[in-house]
Amino acid sequence: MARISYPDPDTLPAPARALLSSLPPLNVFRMMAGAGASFAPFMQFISAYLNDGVLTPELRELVILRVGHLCQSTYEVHQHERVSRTIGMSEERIAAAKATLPSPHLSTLENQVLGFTDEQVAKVKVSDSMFRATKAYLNDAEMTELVIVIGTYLMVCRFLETLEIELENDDIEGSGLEEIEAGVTRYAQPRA
Amino acid sequence: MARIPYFDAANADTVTKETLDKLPPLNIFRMMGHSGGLLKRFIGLGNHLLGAAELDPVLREIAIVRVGVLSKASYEVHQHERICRQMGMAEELIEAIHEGPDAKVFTDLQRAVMRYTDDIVLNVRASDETFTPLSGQLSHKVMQELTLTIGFYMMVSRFLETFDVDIEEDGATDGVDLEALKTRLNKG
Repeated sequence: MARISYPDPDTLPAPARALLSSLPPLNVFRMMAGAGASFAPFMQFISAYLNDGVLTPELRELVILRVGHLCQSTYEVHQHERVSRTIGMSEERIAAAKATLPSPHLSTLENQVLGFTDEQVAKVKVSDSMFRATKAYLNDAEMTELVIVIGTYLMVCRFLETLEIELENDDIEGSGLEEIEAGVTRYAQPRA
Repeated sequence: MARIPYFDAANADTVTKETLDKLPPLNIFRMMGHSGGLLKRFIGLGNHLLGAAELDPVLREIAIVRVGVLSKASYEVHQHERICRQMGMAEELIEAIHEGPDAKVFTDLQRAVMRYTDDIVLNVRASDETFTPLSGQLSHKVMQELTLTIGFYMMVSRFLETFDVDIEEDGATDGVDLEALKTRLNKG
């Protein structure tokens, strides 16, 4: 049972109700539809790196899972393990996201990026040596997106855990990422 | 000195150029130009948390500056203390954000926001001791806004610190115009 009630969709402003009805039926979105003016921009923001990002999908999901494990967010890990399976990641690689590094199931680049993630989460500012070693594998666009994605899941895990969002009884079909993109394209306000 | 060069706007695609043209020339945005289309969406969320939320602006800035203090993010603290002063917050109140929740100058509600922010930043899930006093006073919508704002500025602090984004030279820029932002979003 969540710590605050999920908003009744009938009481939401029409644009938020329309956007919510177009999204995968996940409790995190049901709750956030009640966050007012920030709901649609939040959905546009996550769709930007989930659907149009520069990190490869498997690297992105490994990073998101790592942050979820570090934050001990069951909901977050559950949903992104589902996404990871949908995009074809093996169970060994999904499990490696919580393993001691380096993991033999991850590439050198992936081990490096997860080490960066650990330090970013724990220390805010990564060391010069960690920054340089990671930058050797990623271009400027990938580096900035990586730091933004790590930070975003610190935010998302805090939202999920503090509001005690429960897992759904049944998993949704597929990754849900296409529905998010279609929903924000159709229903989110274009203003920025 | 930033760890990678700032983005060269001459290389921007159309969307990124339009986004940068609308923003004040702050180094954080110059750095984030590297992320292309993600910059526009980051700004969209940040602008709505700052300019269209129901969360009281003083409570919002207390939470944001506190996240910056806990994260040792000097750029973040610098920019949002500037906003605090523009909003007319007293120097004693701004100093108290550095001091901690027990500082005498806070109202009960401000102190509850400080405690909630500390708890979320350090422990991910706020305990009943910090959640309940606030949820009794703030609407569900505002509780969501506050929680997202704390998390958003944890991300911002990490971005600023990891890329070593430089504070602008004095007087180089006025930063974000919150009043103009509010007017624009409320028209939208």
